[in-house]
Amino acid sequence: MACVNAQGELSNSAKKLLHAIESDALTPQEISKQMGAPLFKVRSSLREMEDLEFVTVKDERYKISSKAKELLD
Amino acid sequence: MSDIRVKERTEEIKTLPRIGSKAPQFEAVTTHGTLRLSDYEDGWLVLFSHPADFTPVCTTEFMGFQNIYDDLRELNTELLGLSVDSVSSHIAWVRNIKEKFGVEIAFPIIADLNKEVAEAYGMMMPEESNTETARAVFVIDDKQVVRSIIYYPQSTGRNMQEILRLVKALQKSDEHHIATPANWEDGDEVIIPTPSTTELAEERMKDDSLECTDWYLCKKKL
Repeated sequence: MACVNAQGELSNSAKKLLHAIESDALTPQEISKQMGAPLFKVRSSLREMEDLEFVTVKDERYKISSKAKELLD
Repeated sequence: MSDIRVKERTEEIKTLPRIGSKAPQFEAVTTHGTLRLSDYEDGWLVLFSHPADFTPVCTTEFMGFQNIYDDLRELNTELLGLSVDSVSSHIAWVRNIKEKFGVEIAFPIIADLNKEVAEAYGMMMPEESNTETARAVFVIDDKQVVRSIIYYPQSTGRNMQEILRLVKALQKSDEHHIATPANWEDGDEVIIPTPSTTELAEERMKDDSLECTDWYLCKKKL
């Protein structure tokens, strides 16, 4: 589930994941349930997004970053 | 010292995973991005290797694995393939399978070009091939412990229903603390573990809820 393409644009699955954590900070399990995506894919994507500073994490709950919000707009 | 002895002494001794041991951790490039074994924690995983993309037996196996994927996911079990081919090769092959056979491969495949994962799991059989992985299957449970290992040679495609049956049997054993007899299928009678004392053996024989042939072979319906 690569988050960005060669042009630096968000992939559809990345957008879907970021929308899922737009208003609430969620655990990977909650995101997986909400998106209907396998947990292993959510964990892998969150790791990539954390490296790209698209998400912030506190107490294992993930929330969209201001940097990613700009990309979504 | 002879060359052979020097070779023997310097050859790296690797400990391969065994049933009951922790599965070796890895981070690998796959057709679904970079995945770690730890991404599968809290669920079960069937990690399997195949010799090479675009080969006939492997193609039939991949369609077979896809065929049981939904059933495995019902059992909280994921599938993860592996060969020493590149991601581009995997993508091209998966697209070809969809085009030629109408089967969409939905599970990720590791591109293990440096054989790192294959060697950690003992998927290489040098006497059979130095360049391709054997048909190995590792069933890894939700605590990331290896629960079963199956090896098939390159010439022989695996039986997908047996892999599905194996996962069901392992999970049933965990859930009910029972064992499963030969050719067990979901819904069949299961085996009660053998009693550890003569007293328990006597009690076992008086238990009307069990179907006992003798004290050491008792079955029951779940």
